[in-house]
Amino acid sequence: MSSLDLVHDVLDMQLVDRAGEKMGRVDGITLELRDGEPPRVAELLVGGTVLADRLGGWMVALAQLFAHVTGAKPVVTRVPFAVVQEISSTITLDAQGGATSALRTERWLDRIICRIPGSSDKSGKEQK
Amino acid sequence: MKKFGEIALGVVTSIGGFLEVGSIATSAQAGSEFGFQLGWAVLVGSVALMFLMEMSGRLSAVTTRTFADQLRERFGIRGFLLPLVAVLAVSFLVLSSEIGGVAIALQMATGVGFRVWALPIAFLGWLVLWRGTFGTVEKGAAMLGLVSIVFAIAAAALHPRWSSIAAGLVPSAPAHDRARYWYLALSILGASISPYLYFFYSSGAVEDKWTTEHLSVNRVTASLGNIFGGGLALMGVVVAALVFLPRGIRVERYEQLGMLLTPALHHPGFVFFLATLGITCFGTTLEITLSLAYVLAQGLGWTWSENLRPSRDSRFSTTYTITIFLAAIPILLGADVLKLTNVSMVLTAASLPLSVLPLIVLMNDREVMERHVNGIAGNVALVAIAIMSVVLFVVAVPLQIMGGG
Amino acid sequence: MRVVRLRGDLLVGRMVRDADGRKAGRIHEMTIEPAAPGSTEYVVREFRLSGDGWLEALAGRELASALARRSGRPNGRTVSWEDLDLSDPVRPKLRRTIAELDAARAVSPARSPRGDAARS
Repeated sequence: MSSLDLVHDVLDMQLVDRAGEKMGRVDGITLELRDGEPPRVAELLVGGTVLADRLGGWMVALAQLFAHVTGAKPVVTRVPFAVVQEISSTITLDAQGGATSALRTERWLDRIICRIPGSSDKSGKEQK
Repeated sequence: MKKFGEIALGVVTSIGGFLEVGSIATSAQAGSEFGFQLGWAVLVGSVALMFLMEMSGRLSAVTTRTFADQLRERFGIRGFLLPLVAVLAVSFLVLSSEIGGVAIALQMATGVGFRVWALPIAFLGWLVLWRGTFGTVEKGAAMLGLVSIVFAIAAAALHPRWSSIAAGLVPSAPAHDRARYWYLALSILGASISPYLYFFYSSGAVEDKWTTEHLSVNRVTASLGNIFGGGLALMGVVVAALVFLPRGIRVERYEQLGMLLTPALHHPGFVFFLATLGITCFGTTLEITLSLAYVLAQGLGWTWSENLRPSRDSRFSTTYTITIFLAAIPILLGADVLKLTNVSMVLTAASLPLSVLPLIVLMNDREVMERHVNGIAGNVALVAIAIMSVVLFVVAVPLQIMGGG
Repeated sequence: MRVVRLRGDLLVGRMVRDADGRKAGRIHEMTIEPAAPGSTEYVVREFRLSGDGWLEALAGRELASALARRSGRPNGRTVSWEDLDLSDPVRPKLRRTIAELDAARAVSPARSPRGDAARS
């Protein structure tokens, strides 16, 4: 990887972990400004509230309302840029998705779904 | 040889999947009120859909990403949000109509009121999605949908003047009820060109792991499938024209359509109509439900696939579960299915620019499509469709007011 | 050394004004590179500004960015990181005037490495 365009090549791209599992998209990017040095790409951000910030005030308000009503705590996942392994049509991270907060909702729902019959059977579906 | 098999399967799948509550309703209304005159709208709709599906299929085969993936990645969340909301909202209404279609078919078959059937249908649909694979939905439902060929048989049995049908394939001005005529034309276009279709097709290409080797399969499937499928819808117009128009019957409720095929096929015609309505609407219910979940999951970067166990893509499977049951509620509450169908068709037509315009950018982006960018023919077609979609957007609400009987 | 963190993605679409307060264009892209050969740390080298035309306003900045990228940036300018003052991220400012910037570019042609990361 040499030079890249942040908006075109990084922002909104699909994140996958070491095993190839999808971990959400790059919803935001943290830059670190330092005196006399070029801004450093510090973190990739994943989360609904991060996305809401880009959509403007009304979306942020909506997201806050949703959190208030459902009692869900908004999760922001911060991925240090050093964790990025490869940037191509997806961004591969040197991490395990399940161990990060990016898949918190996915895992939480999984625990509920597991109780529904037929959710974990093979019955013709691929093993993943 | 294997490729021939793939193509044949794809074409058959497209034909079986073409008719659904919208095309059945709009074709019947058009035939009963204007004879063969609106045949051109079916033709234009099918041809436009053919191009859009081929392009979304090509996009996914070349990039191995879906249309929704590309929309989010190329245009960012701000450029993606409006198409997303539009597709979700409009598809949801169409989904409700489809569930309504199945419910009406069951009501006509059993005498039990259609509202009762709403939740059982949603449950059955959910069960198929929960336990089945993409192949089950794509091929299984569509193969059963081939029962809709009975429309062509019925049309032939009525010995229509084929020259008159051909004449109807050329746009002409109506002799009466101008607003109604153009309203029905708009509805037919909305019934044919539904965004959920090419979002679903694009996702299917990725589910089936298409690559550039599948480009010819894609082209043939998209073209033959939609031409023949459109032909079936046209036969719907023909049959309605020959059965309802001479009797001066205007289609205002789905129940009236029960007699659509009986003049040609006698009592079995009634059964075949119910089977066609019920099966095609059920198949489309599955497709739209998946399509909605696909677009949301892909746009937000979740794990998704109908080939995965539901616990492996929990946000995706939760989304389609909530969607199908939510969409059954309007039917449960007794919505007028025909009115709901008509409104959702008009809104579909109006929402087209939001997915067609970005497609122009994507299909000409060499970085995305490499050497498979659109040629001149493709771009001419796409721009024509785009212009048409903008016109539809502008006239949709006025026509709904003036012509939505 | 003072370190300030800000949201890079929220910079997209913000209007940049020059030292005289004139509009220089909206940020639509940031080019990043390794801080040093072989380093895993990436830094922003350049900001690309788009014109402030009707297309940007109508179609949204990200779409305009996509289009601008395809047509080779007909009417934008490239700003080196040193020339951009982000002390107020909502109102990015150039440390020079547009005229000075364009003159400097004319003398030494802009080094604007496009993303050549593998994008197959």
